[in-house]
Amino acid sequence: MIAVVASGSYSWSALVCGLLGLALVGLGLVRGSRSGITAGAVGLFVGALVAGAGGAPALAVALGVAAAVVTWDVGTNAIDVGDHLGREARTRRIEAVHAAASISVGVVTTGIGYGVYRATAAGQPLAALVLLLIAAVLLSSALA
Amino acid sequence: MLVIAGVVAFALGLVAIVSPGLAALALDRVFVSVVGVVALLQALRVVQARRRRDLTRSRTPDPEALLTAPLPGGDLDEALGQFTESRRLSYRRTRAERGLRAAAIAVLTEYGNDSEHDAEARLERGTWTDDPYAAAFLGGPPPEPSIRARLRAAIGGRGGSRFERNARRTANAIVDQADLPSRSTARATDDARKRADRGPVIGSGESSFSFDAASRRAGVAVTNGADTTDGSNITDGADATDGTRGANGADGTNRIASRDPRSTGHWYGVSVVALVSIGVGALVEQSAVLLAGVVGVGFAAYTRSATPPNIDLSIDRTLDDERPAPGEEVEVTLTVANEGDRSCPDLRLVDGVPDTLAVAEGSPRLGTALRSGEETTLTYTVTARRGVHAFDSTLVIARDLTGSIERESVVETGTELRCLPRLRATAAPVPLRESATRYAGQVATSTGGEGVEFHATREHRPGDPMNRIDWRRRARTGEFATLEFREERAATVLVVIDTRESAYIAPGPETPHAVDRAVDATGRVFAALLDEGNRAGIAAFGPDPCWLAPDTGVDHRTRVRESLATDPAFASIPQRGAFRSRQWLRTLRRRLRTGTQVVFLSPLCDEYAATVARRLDAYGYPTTVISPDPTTDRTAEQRLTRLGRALRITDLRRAGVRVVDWPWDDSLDAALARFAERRPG
Repeated sequence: MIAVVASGSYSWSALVCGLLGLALVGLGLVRGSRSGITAGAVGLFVGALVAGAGGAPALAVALGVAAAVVTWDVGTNAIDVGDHLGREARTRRIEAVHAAASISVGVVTTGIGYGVYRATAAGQPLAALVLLLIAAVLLSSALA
Repeated sequence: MLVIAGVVAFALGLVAIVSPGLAALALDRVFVSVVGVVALLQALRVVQARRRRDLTRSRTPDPEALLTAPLPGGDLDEALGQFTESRRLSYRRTRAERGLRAAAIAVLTEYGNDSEHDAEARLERGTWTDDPYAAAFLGGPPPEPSIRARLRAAIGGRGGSRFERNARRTANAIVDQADLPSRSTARATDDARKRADRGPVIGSGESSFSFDAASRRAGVAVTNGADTTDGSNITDGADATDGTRGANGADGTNRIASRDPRSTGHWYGVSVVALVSIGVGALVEQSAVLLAGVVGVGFAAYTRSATPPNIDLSIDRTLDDERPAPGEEVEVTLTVANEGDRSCPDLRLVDGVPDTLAVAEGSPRLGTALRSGEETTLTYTVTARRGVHAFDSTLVIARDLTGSIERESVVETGTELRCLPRLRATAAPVPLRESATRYAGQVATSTGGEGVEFHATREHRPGDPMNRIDWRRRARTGEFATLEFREERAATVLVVIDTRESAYIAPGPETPHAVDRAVDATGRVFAALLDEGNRAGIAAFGPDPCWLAPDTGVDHRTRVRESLATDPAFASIPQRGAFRSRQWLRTLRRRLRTGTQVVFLSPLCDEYAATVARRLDAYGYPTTVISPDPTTDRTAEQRLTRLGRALRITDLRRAGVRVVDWPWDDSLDAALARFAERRPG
């Protein structure tokens, strides 16, 4: 939802992507299919990116992406718990803890990113940007 | 390597920010685009890697499901096998044809009053049935099918080759010829069937229960893990390597066997978010999209922070009644406490419900998070059944907060539920044969002597008691004669239960199988016999021999009650292992005096059971068969099995063995009463 609101309010195409993603996530949750949720989360993610490419503010895009990731995580985890424990078992606590952890990670990283962005928004040399990009690519590949 | 390069690039970037002059590199926008494309390509690689990677997740067993017994009949081949002697014929078709032929002849001679010769002639002419296809199948003239029939044949019925369809049709026609008593069959409701479909079936080869396997696997992991440097992560309440079943945690120490932690791959490939954001951001030159990449990097780092979870739990299982009566619902309470000093953010527990018990209410599974020192409880109820049911270990799957590393453990908690049914005597007398011991009792014998019922008169011999002289004859003819009465003696009876795997069959998924019914009946027959002053014993005709010699008295009664409920030979799941029936019979003959009566409880669904009954009778043990009927008539195979059983019973009766046929939907008392009615005296 947050992903849709965050990205959808800035561009129509992002709204379409986001809503499609949300529908897929909902379907995936009902049918208990991991790929449904993954496809939906990708929709949300793409929606956020499209909004960003169309000039949406940085905070909205970052929140949209974070929300997409959290949606995917919580959704697949729920299916996983369902596989392990079935529908009848009490599982609220396990899911709440997992979701809380993921959400806080999303919020914190978005906050840090946005803070850094605001602090360095005043035009930096291109070389620094490029080097930081390379660093980000290498590090995220290493972390996989 | 990549990390070092990344750190270097990061440092250079910082340097460039702080003092733009130092890193005077000539970089233009083309280079930015190149970085973007590289990032996207890398993202593609990560996605591919994720797709190729299987999710390595542990599976949890289904302890709620009850083991269900298979339906009688099996496949057509098996169902027909009971009519033919030779099983070594190479072709399935020939075998099926011969089987059907033999079945048809048996039915026609038995129910149609034909001689064997007549029956064969009728088969040749095809006049034995109205069904032209069935007639043709066994050598009659080929049918002239109507257009409708031909159309139906062309379109094809339900499943199977044409041969198989015809064979089934013939089988049905044959069974129709025998006028078996029609009975309502056990029709499972859709719901019940669905539930049964989920449950494992006895003897189907699939491992009915994976707890065993899980503990074995985990046991291996313990012995391995103890030697590795990672050994500190393995918690042993007791000594894990001694291999004994640790005592249950009255003092809170359960033995825990853990496997090495492993990655679940849940977050694998999350960096794709960062890579795609950066790639797209670099290409469209939007700093907002670039910034979103930070989120991806953040999640990737979060995933990296995962540490293997520690399982230091104490689990205590209590039953609200450890010795319930059959059918009672027992509440099981599982108390789980985190004894470690770290919290467990993700715990999934599946309790080891015995596969002979069904969960009536609630779920034996729990997903929870436990802080250090915290505890929680899980409650569910099971329905008690006869026998000793040992609860299995509890399976615990613990994950860390991120969910990317999991550890599977088995926590031992030995709890036992003992359910000993009371021995309740049958209302109707147990049919016994005329063979008795020297002890006074209730079996009327054909020997004259002291008793109540008049038997015969014989010539007077000096020394005969005065009160047995026939004074009327003395008055009439002047001769002395002595009256003799029918002697009533106690019988020695051995109740034998057919516990071979083939006897574990049930008419429906929700009905008790033949062995369960037989064991129940044994208890009642045994109690009735003892109450009437007979001596009785029990024995299992199966791979796990149980033998309690005929005896009498309170101690013996208790012993038999215990055995029937707890002996593995009578368990509600079959015992594995080879069964040597010849040896069993030899041992029986050595142990049992001739003249001892045998009550044989068997579903009589295979020829061998009938052979054994006949042989026991021939060895000089007057035999009565009480046969719980597990057959139904839904498919051709099941109908054939029912036919075979009916023919077998007729054969046995003809051979002088008494057979009490006990329908599945009837009580034992009713079956015995019907039997006594039909055969007065």
